[in-house]
Amino acid sequence: MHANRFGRWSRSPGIDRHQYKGSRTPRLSGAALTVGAVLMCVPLTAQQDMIRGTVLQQQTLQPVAGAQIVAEGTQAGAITDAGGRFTITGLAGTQITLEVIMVGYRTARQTVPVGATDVRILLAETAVELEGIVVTGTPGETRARTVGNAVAQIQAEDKLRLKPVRDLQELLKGAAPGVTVRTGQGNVGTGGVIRMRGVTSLSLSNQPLIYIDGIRVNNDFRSGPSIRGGRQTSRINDINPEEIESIEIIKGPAAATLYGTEASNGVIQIITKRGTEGAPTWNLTVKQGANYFRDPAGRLPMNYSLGPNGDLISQHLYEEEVAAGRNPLQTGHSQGYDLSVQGGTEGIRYFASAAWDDTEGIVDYNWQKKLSARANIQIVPSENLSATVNVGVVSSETRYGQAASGWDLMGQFTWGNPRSRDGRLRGFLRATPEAAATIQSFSEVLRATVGTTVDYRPFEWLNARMNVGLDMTDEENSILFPRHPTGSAYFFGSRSLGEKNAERKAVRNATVDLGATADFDLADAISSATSMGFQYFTKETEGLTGRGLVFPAPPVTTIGGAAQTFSGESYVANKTVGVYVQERVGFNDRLFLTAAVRGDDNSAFGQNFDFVIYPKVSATWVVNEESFFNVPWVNTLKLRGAWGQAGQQPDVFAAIRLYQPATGPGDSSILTPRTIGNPDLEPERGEELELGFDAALLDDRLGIDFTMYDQSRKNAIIGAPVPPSSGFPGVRFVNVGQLDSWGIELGIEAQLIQQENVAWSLGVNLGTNNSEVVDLGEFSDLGAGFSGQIHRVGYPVSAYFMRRVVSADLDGAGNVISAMCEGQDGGSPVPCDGAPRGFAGQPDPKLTGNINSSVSLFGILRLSAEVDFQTGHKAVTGDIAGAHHLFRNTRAILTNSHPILEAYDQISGFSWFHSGLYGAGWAKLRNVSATYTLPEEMVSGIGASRASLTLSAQNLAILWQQTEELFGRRIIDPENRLTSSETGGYVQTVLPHLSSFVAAMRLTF
Amino acid sequence: MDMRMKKTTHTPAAALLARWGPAALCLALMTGLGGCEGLLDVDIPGDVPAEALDDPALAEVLVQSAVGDFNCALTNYAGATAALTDELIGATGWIDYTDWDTRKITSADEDLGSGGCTNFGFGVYTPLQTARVQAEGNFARIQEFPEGDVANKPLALATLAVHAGYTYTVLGEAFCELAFDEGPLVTPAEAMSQAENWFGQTMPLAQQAGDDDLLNMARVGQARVLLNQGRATEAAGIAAMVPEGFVWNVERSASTERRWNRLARHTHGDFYYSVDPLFRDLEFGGTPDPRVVTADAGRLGHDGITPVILPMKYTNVSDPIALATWTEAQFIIAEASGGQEAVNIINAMHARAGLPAFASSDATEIMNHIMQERSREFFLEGRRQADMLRYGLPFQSGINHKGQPYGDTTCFPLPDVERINNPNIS
Repeated sequence: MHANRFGRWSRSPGIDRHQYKGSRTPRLSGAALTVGAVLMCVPLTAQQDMIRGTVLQQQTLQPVAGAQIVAEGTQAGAITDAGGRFTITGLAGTQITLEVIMVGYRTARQTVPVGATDVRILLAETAVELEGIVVTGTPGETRARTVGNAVAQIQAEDKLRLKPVRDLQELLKGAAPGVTVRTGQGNVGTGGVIRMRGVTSLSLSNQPLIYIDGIRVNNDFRSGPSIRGGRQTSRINDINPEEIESIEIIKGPAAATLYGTEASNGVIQIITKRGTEGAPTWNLTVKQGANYFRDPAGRLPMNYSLGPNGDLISQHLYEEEVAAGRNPLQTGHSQGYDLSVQGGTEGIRYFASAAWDDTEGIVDYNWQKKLSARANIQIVPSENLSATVNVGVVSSETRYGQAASGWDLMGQFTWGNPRSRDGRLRGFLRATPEAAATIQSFSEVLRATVGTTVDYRPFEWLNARMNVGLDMTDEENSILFPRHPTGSAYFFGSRSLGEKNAERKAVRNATVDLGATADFDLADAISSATSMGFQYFTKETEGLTGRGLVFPAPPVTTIGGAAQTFSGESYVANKTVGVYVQERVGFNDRLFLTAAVRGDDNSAFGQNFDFVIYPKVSATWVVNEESFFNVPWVNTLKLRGAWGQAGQQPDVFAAIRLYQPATGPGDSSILTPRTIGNPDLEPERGEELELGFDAALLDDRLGIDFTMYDQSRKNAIIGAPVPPSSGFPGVRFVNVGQLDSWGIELGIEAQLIQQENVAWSLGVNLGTNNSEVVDLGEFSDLGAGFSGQIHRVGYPVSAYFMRRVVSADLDGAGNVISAMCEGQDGGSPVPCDGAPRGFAGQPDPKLTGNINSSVSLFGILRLSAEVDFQTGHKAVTGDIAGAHHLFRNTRAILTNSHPILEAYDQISGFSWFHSGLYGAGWAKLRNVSATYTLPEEMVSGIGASRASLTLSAQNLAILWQQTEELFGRRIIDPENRLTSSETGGYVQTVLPHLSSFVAAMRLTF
Repeated sequence: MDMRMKKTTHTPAAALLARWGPAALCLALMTGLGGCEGLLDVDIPGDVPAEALDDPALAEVLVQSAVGDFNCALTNYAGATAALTDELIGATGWIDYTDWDTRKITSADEDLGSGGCTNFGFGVYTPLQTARVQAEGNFARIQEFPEGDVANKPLALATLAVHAGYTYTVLGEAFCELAFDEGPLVTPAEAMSQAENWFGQTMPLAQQAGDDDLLNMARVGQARVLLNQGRATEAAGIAAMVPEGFVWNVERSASTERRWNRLARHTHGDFYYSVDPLFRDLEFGGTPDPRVVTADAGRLGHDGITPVILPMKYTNVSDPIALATWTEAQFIIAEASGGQEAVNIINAMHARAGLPAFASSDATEIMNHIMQERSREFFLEGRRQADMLRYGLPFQSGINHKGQPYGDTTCFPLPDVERINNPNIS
């Protein structure tokens, strides 16, 4: 029995699963492993013939589980347990050399005295890991060396130790080149959009597919109630990062072909933690932190107006409120508690966790409370069968800041007017902060993700897999204006009689994924892996909405208690069925060629369209293993290339001409046009060529991951606005466009110092992205959102096209004379009257990156810092343009001091937001942290085996801001955006990203 | 209606795999689960496919659908033009409303072009075009239905025809240029011709149906069109056939937002707008004019600057908006006739309103007074923009009450959403 204890799936008896993956030259025999495994169970009492110790990762100082330890010159050995601990007995002599082998790490040798019980062995990661297992969508295990496309792998636990954030999106920021997380604001409970290699779809979603343990899950980023700026809650943040083992990201069609329609924006695979054989290991994590608004006095504006005599009066609302003892901002307390246990036996392995998170924002009514739990149980009834059940549950309640458009706190500060300083408004725009705080916007979420994976290996050469699962999200969203006792509260108009909008939404994602992989050796040194599979995905969204107006008395807040009630119901379903076949041939375990084809049908395709087929080919070559290769400073060099296609389905009812019910004369039921439809609609097709290499250099101390990609979205679906004279509103989806995008991605990991007591690493992630609209069919332009964004052939996607004033003069009366604007395509300036709307930049950064560094000292202290940056893009600030032109509370507009601003203001043809365009590049100190690993003698007193304390801070400073101010108004945070639109580059009165301090204590028992 | 949409597989270029790939795998993998049939069926319980409308049983729904879309469109139009003209001024900082209040409506304005009935701002062009197509399209549908399958078919057709006429009228009055049914650019005059045609079709149908209201709606509409066309005498002739006291209102209701009188909501409910000083405290001969009554809300609007003066014409979201009235017919006669007949009509209106008599023999003064009477009589009924354009009255200019410069919108430009996406224009 013990011979297979470490791996049911070993290819040959005596070599365990980890070993097979991890070592090209297996060092341990099955017998040795057996010895080691047995020895792990020996009572931990000191003996003269034994060695006891711990294996740690050199950089993270985290235990390394599953490492193989061999006492050189003996048959003795051991495997480290979940805590990285090992014990070897039966040794002789006074000292012995231990060799430690582990997948992904450089083999370590350390000579230690026999009898020592506190041996610490530090393992350094290899710069390039070829033997690790990656998720490819096919059954069986796929080694990284066989994969021809880039796969970003993020070890969540390692990341969290440096950056103990609570939202998964915060964890993903800067984690991989080419992956951008654009969170818009610091409103606790909101999230952002995720971009893989920029915007790749003109009119459809750009969000990647998300899988948890093989089950496709809700990836909605426009969830929650429609607060200021729209729905901005991202469902990916439901997932507790502490439950995650690793995250694997593939970024485009070349890699995502097997995922089919819907996958052209890339795929995020979340792999949750699993149990390992051994005694239960308990982990307790406690986090305490503080969220705050950095420098509010300096960043919130001074407002101006003209007094009764035409004199300029000013007011700094924030400072006045603070002086009056009414500081509306607070330092929010965040706390999180996570308890997990993992362990198992030969037949059953388990992981279970429960977590509670309670986070407050920078106003006391903005908070989120989240309870999450997960259980993963793997049952191994026989050597060729394994069944895993994964269950994750999240229950959360959020109360949002910025609860309603018009009454959001930032809007009150930004657009306030000193003329109302002495009245009830105290200078705020529409409501005082305490009045705005009475508006309540809630979201309650209950989410369960259940999946079962069965792996069956009836023959040595055949792996079959079944994934079946369901992701269920139930949301209750509401926005309530409570009834004011008199029904005539000054700040709310008719809403002071009471108004509530509520919504109950149920989203169900179901996955059926069946597949098999057959492995053969076609000849000596030629291997073959043939995979085929069938997949079926459904997504159903049911919604019930209710609205109540006029409550009889303040306590009544139910819609049923309102004098006027309105209701609605919606149901949307989408279904995909797909099949795939893939063949991979390997030569000498160094060169691999893969070809695959995937076919899909989808319920949203037009009735005149049948079936779509996506092909792919890829190749990878581990050059350094060739005999001719002899470059001593190159340890590993893997070349890779992939070409493939994947799709993106149309909007659900885009193909059908539909009428929708409405209420008509006499409150009768009527039918009004809804969508014009297009029965010929097909999915759009993403096509991508990806070339790159993974290299380990300089004695494995420098790892380079380089990729260049060239992507084309053909047959692109355009939501072409329907000419209203057709009688239909909205857009007609048509397959006419083409959008190209290209760029490079570079990941560098350098181990600058690797000494016993000091290890210093430096990491850089860089991603460039360029795009060009190549074809819009019959359309010359296509609106791409608010604030002057247009898709236009020959220009980047969603580019800004605006009139830009370059010079202007004022006459004595303050009137604009001789205003000149940019000419066509950057040509000579022309008079602004009738000037063209020229290209003025793109909303998405051309360059994104992350620089991180960490230093480990004496095996107990780790210091780290991380900087994120983006540049090459522009944004439009409605805060500032609105202040100048609409609310007119700025010094510049009131004193006619900026001729160019006056030109924007006075000359016809300028929309009010044109002056709000600015270069939006930035660099932020995203995270700094210090982690101290407590001495074992200290933690053993409380029964723990290991403990660490992390002190960290996020968003401490903006290191670089391309544009500081516009016509005298400061840009609060260049990272702010409204994220309810995927391509929008507009921002308006949102809370800036939070700055925070977090202390995290992690205990292992 | 619960419609089950079933995907069909056609013969194919995408061929073998399309046909046999899924089938083979389904057979192989789904045996015992009932096969793959129906895997892609989805329900659409909330909507109706277009082809289902070709059903005589739905005739009444089709008629009411067109009327409902028209009512909604006209309400939005009245609100939008009240802001654009001198009837209301903005008392809020809402961006959507500011451009309307300052006459900065360009062809790119989304409310003008794409805004719907219940959008935050006042959608204009799309709701009016939808109402037009609904009226014309459903007219054509019902015309095709067998006689016996539609109860009182002439009544249904007359109702649709008169609403088609009014949508053409409003579009022709409001826009500088137009397009219909994804066709080429047309002038407002061509819209008026279409309106004339539809009102002409309405009258015999209404008579056939025995419905005097529809008949008089068509008469008022026809007279309005003829006046726009400069055919004043013909207009007066038809207007004279409208019986005293006739009123046809666009029905409004508190039931859903789509049915609201949004002018009432955005003044009394939301304080977004305040009555323009030009329409406050109006009187004649020292007697307050009951047609334009205002009330001081005693507060500032949400911009923190503008005192809110409420129009008392609409105080509730269920207050109707007049569309066609004997009063309008009388003013058409007055304008066409001039002289003492016009004075008599003015005074008849004054008597109804309890105002002192007006006296003049000066043609210009009489005409000016007719213009003023119309501005009061039709206050917030969506008539001001057309009157200002027809009479050549100056729109507001310079700087508004908040210091914001006015733009230059008078008639509405054809929205970009039409110009760019209409294959017969670009």
